[in-house]
Amino acid sequence: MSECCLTSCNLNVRDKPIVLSYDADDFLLAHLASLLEGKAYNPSPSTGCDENFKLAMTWLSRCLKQHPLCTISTPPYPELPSRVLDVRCLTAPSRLALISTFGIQGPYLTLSHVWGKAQIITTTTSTLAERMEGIALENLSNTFRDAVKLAREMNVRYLWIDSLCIVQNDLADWKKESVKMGSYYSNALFNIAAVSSSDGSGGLFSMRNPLETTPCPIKIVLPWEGGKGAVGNGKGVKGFLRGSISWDPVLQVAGFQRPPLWQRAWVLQERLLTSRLLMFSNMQMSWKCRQEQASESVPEGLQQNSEMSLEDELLRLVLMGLKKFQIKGQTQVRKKVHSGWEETEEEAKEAFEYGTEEELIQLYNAWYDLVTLYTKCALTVASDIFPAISGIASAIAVATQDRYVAGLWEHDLHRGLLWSAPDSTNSKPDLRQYRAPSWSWASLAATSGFYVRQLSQKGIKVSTKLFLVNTIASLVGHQFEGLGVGALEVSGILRRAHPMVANDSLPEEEVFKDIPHRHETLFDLKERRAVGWYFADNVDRRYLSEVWCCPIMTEERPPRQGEEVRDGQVSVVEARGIALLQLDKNQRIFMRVGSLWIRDASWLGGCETDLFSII
Amino acid sequence: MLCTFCNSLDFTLSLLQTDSSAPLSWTSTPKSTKYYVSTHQPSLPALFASAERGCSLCVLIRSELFHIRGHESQEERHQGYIELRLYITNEEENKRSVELDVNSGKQIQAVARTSARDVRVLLDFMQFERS
Repeated sequence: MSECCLTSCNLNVRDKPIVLSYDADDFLLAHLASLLEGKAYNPSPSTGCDENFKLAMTWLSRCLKQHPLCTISTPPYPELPSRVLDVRCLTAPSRLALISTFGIQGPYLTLSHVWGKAQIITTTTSTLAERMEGIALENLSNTFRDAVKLAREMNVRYLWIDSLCIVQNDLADWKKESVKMGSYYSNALFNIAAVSSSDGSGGLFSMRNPLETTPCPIKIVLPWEGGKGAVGNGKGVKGFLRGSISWDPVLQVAGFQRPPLWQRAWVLQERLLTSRLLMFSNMQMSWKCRQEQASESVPEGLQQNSEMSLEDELLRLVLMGLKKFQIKGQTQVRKKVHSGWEETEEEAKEAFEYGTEEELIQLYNAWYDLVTLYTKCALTVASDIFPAISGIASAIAVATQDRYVAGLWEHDLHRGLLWSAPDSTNSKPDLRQYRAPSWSWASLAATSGFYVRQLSQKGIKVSTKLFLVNTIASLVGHQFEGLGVGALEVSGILRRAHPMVANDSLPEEEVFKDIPHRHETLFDLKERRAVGWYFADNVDRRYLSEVWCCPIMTEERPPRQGEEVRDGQVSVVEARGIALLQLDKNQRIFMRVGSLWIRDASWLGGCETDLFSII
Repeated sequence: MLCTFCNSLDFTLSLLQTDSSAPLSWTSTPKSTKYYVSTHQPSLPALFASAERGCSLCVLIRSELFHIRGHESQEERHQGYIELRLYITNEEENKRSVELDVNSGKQIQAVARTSARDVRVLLDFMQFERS
């Protein structure tokens, strides 16, 4: 490893904290030009080259030295995971072995990777003893072998890889370790991400043309002399040319062109919980920490904050343990700005902010956005739907002191229940297996969107307290890891309606032409009129003869152009809610089958409040 | 390694020109419509050939072209010469001085000029040094 980086930097000791005695930023700027020229004139096609290891070490060093937000949330000297790979094991011929840590502290790395269909090396009850004696490098997958090489080059002794550090056929061990996984990633010195590999054979490092990403050393002759930063006419000025726009696949965290790693549900929290991420795509190596992002093409780094939405920023602070909310108490308590580096670690950890009610809503909104992204990702084991996001949920629960109920938040249930799964009608039969109560988005393996995140129209007044008077979620099972049964006790309004595929009978249909065509019209057969629309959650919940309308939210808005209103009526009140199927008439038990839209809330006006359960 | 064109990017050899389509709607830069030119490869095939021979800057421009696309057609009307443009703000023109910002650099555009349209690649000239 480069002497320049590590002569005064100790990253792998057991008995000393990390020490950096030089100014990493000055180092970066002083050496960047020569480093880039070296890369340009002697380009290495592999992303796993010495120049990149130097660059990665520089990013890490600068983060440790200059980024209080990253360092506060990641202890420099954390307790190691229960088992780790020791990449410098003196007793193993390959210098690699699995070890039990028994509370040892020290910096370690984690790996995010796609298991894929190719068989990868794992630890089982029958191979555990063998792994602890030593692991031959040739038995590792390409990705694991590259990760070991990287750990050694970065001078970090311990590496955590899920398939090797958790005993895969020991359910008790898996349960014990899976609940700790969130902390494993959040406490790691940094997480290595094999972004472009769809299985273990893909490797961490890729071969590419480095000239496509490395800034190109160039001399240009400018038209004028003088001025700040300018150089005289005819002499020329040296510098580097690079593309203004980054095309790095690691930036594609959503959408159809996501690289393989970002398509995996488990990886969402691995990516969000870790303070530092060293990513390898098939294009380049790049870095992301809480305060900065950098890459081979932007080696000097860019500040993170400017690109973050308010919701993302709140979520970031919550995941870092720097934000808490008092949802029942006062809204403004104290605000202590974490000024950072001069504080002791303990002081810095206490330097969190208290959020307002308004910010709390924004945090819930961030959760809904996260769920939408999460439900676009793939899970190999359907029952992992809660464990794979439990680390993030736990962090939010700590910050809000709210109760996590089957993927929703108890104090925001009235908004959270209004989810929809617009593409779920194509879901496969095996997805009908029970994994969550019907009122939870987690009950379906489909992308879920939240209606409250679409409320952006001006002039709409929203009320969420008119109909759903009380909700008590009674749950069986671990709060974050999964549920046996979850019943929602509701005190609210119910009114029967009948879905029919008779769209053309509604003259107002053109008003809602932007709605997907899979909706059905809701009819009130007694009044012999259409009252709204029903959107089935799943294909097997369509064409029901009747549903019970459970309104949750009303919207008051100005009439649309051409919309028929009563004389003197200046606004239209619509209702949004969920559609229920009655399972047992005597016990008043229902299941959710879809969402609904009542276009005139006065249709629900004469109904009395009722008590019922949704399972 | 740089080809002959890339090795001598000289913006003193042209007159100040005006870009009638600037500022571009899809990017905030350049804010200026005036630029100096340094001539580059005579055609896209020549650019690609130079990239194949290992010219670092031609590789970079080719790579950016692949990302933005629009140059793939073999039709003659889509083939044209390449020029590099240094856009000048009014302030720079008045001061007769080019500002080279350490943090954001100075934008230079590589423009593939064809009879059908201009295909633009946005580049940043960086110095990575504090003034």
